[in-house]
Amino acid sequence: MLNITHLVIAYAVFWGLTFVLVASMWARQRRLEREISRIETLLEKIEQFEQGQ
Amino acid sequence: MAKKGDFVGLFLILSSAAAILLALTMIFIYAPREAVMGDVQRIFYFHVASAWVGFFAFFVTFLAGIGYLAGGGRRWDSVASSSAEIGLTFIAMTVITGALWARPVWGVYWTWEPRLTISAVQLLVYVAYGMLRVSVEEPERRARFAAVYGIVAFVTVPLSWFAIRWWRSIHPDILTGGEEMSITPRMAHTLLVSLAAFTLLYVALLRQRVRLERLGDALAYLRSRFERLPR
Repeated sequence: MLNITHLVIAYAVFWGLTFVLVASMWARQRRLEREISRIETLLEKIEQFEQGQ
Repeated sequence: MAKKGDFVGLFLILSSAAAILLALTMIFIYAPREAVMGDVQRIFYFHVASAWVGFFAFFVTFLAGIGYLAGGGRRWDSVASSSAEIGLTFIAMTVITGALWARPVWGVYWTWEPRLTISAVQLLVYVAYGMLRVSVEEPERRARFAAVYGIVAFVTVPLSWFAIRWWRSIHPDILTGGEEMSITPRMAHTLLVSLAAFTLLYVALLRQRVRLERLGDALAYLRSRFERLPR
C-alpha cells in the first residue's frame, strides 16, 4: 500500500510541477502581451495627436 | 500557449503530449512489475527521464553561455536563461520523485550519499543562477555574468553523473544494473520512450519560453521608445 501511495504522489509531483511551469509561462505571456498592446495603443494615440497639431 | 498560426509550436505541444501518454501507457501496462521493489519501481521511468532533461537543459545553458561570450548576442542569453529555468524544474522533479522512491526501498526519504548530496547542491546552484539574473538590472552585465555562471555551474552535471562511479554510493546505476536494479528489455523500451517523450516536452517548453523572452525584449523596446518621447 505504501508503495502505491508513493507511486501516486511521485506522478502527482510530476504533473503538479509541469502545471506550475506551464501556468507561470502562460501568465507571464498574457501579462507581457497586455502591457505591449497598452503601450502600443498609447504610442499610436501620441503619434495621432502629434500629426493633428 | 502556442500563438495562432504557430504550427511548429502546436505540433511540438501535441506530439510531446501524445508521447507522454504513450510513455504512461507503457509504464503502467507494458513494463513488468519489478520483482523486488514492486510497483514503486515505476517511478524510475519519469525519475530518470526528468534527470536526463535537467542535465540536457543545463548543457544547453552551458553551450548558450559560450555562444553569448563568443559574441553571439542576446538570443543566446534568451536560450540560456530559458533552458536553466526548465532544467531547474526538472531537477526538482528528479529530487522529489527520487525521495519518494527511496522511502519504500531504502527506508528513508533522504540520505547524504554522494549522488543525492550533489543533486541538492545542483538544485541550489541553479536557484542561485535565477537569483543572479534577477539581481543584476543592466541587461548586458546580467547576460555576461549569467553566461559565466552558467558555464561554471555546469560542472555539477558531470559531478552528479560520475558520483555513483567515483564514490561508494547506494544510488542504483541504470547502465551497469547493480544489486537493486536489473532492467528487462520491456523496461528498457519503456525507459527509452520516456526519455524521448521528456526530450520532446523539453523542446516544446524551451521554444515557448524563448518566445516569452522575445516578448520581454519587445516590451523593453516599446518602454524605451515611450520614455524617449518629449514631455
